Amino acid sequence: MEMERRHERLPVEYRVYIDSENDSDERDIEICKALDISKSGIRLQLKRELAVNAFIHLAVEARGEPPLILVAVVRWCQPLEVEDAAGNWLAGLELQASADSDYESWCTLLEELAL
Amino acid sequence: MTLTPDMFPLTVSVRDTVLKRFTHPESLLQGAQHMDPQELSDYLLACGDTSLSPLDAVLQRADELGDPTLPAPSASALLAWVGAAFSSWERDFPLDPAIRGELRKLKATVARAALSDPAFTTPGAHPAHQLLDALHAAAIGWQEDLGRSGDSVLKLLQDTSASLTDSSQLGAAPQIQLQLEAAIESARRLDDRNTRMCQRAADVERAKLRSEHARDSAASAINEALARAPLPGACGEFLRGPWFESAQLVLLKFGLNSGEWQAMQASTLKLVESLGPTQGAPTDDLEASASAIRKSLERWLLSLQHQPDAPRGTLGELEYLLLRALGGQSIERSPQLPIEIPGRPEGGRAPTRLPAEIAVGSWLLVRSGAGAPQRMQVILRQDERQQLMLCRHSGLQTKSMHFSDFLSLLREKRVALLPSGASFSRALASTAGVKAPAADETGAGAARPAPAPKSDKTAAQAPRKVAEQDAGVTAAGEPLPLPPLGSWLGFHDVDPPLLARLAMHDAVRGLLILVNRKGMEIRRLEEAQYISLVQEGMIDLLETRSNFRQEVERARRRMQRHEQSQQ
Repeated sequence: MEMERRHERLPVEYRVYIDSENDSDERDIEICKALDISKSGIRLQLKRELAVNAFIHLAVEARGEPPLILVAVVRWCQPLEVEDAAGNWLAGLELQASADSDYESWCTLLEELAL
Repeated sequence: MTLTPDMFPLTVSVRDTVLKRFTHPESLLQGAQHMDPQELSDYLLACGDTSLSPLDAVLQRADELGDPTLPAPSASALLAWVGAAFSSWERDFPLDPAIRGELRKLKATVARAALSDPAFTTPGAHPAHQLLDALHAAAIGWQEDLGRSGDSVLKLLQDTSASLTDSSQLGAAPQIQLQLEAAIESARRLDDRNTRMCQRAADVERAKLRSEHARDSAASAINEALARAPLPGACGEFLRGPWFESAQLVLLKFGLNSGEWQAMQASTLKLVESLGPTQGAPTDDLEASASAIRKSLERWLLSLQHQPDAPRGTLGELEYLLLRALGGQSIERSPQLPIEIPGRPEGGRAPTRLPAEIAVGSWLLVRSGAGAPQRMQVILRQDERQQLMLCRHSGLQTKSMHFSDFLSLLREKRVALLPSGASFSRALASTAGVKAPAADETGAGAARPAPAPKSDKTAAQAPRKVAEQDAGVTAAGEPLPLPPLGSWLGFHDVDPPLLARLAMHDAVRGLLILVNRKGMEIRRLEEAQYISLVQEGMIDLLETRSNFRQEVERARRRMQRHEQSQQ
């Protein structure tokens, strides 16, 4: 189920803003939580199911700094078996090196955190 | 009248005028010894100080060597003329100092051409003139802070001066001629490339302006319908949602005066009248009437046509309401909120006129902020919408402004026109005393423009190959004029038109991935395909959603306020 891991994962508790659209076609910014991160991926806990293979835009607020805007593809999403206020879904996202995103800053952040 | 680029090349030589104006008096003295032409040529090449005029350089060199000879009268005049023309060129057609330094390295080569080729005295006709004209055109937007984007210009100048200096050292005239022609070609190719990059930036801006106009027009028309009567909530949501998006697509595809837009507006009114409180007596054939309205709506629901099931669901509820309303049954109605129309910065300003010379392609020196002045080119002028768009070399850092803002900058002398076009040829002609003929002058003049003038641009564009014009610009590291991630784009190269959101730009593989509203990939384009579609007007930028970064900032501020209130 989980995406194939190419980089070491670091446990974190960062706030993440996800770009999503609700059924009435309006843009929603959903707030959720990153549980662990790596250069190529991020695991989220959130309140709704994400469609597998969907592209999403997300902003990760790390260490109180301005959020990094990233592009990711949802690789898996599964329900949590226990109730949790932060949300009942876990999702694995694969980050994409998109121009106009902050992916390079993301890689720098991961290098700094790994030190 | 001043000399203009379209007057070049001139059709007559200015040799006599040059000899009269510039002959060194000492060279005419009786008993003056004159330099051997080869020696003169060697002195020119040996001079290391490129700031000197060629004549001063030769005299200085001779003085250093204790050589009592002087250039012959005609040679002294030609060298002085070239020096004066270079000074005039640098003063009247200013370039960045680094570029000026590179161009000065060509002074000796140009001076040697003046001495050896009688054709040199017809401004604009000689390859050396055309080369400096073309180099100026290619380098006019160059500034040091352009970074990698400006590297190609600097490299062109360095390569040109190196190759021409080498050829001059060898002294082979045919070789110099070939080098000149090759350098002219390279400079023109670079200038064309810059023009294409700027054109692409303009295309994106033009599409954005069209989208804004379509959005405003669609919102106004729908708001007018929403204001007519209280309506069921579902109808309001439909009109503000998919109908509004479809209206923008119809406007973009067919235009404000099209029959299609008129038909769509008629469908809007029919829906509102049928669901409003005064729809008249109950209809006999309810199903046929409701079905006809549904079909007319379905026809224009372009924004949902790439999702086959979506219109069915959206229209199903409306059809049910129509059946009830047309059958005279009571349905819940309420006043509907209008679509928000963002205030455009140009709104409410009195139209103004810009000087004609602020034309597409002209270059300006702009001091708009606290930083250093920037060289910017006019790439879009829309008199109807009073919008001017400027960008730096290679389409970088586009800046849009209203005509009145631009005029303010002009009045405050924070904008200056940078003259360009046949620049060195014009400098040669003006220093030789050539005046532009008055409009009614038909008699013989000292120098007249060619009967069939050929501007730099015309000459430059003629020999281009398609492959060169379309060579992968983005593969060379140039920026791709893309809207922000998350922007909605309307594609008209497919039928029905496709609405898709820009999900990512993979700069490494040169790919754009576009998704539907659920985030699933529905189209993948190579950069070249995207550029080609933009140029063909097949893509419209639909600014129907705000920027994700801004949305996140708003969400963060809300979250911070919430957290502060909890403390």
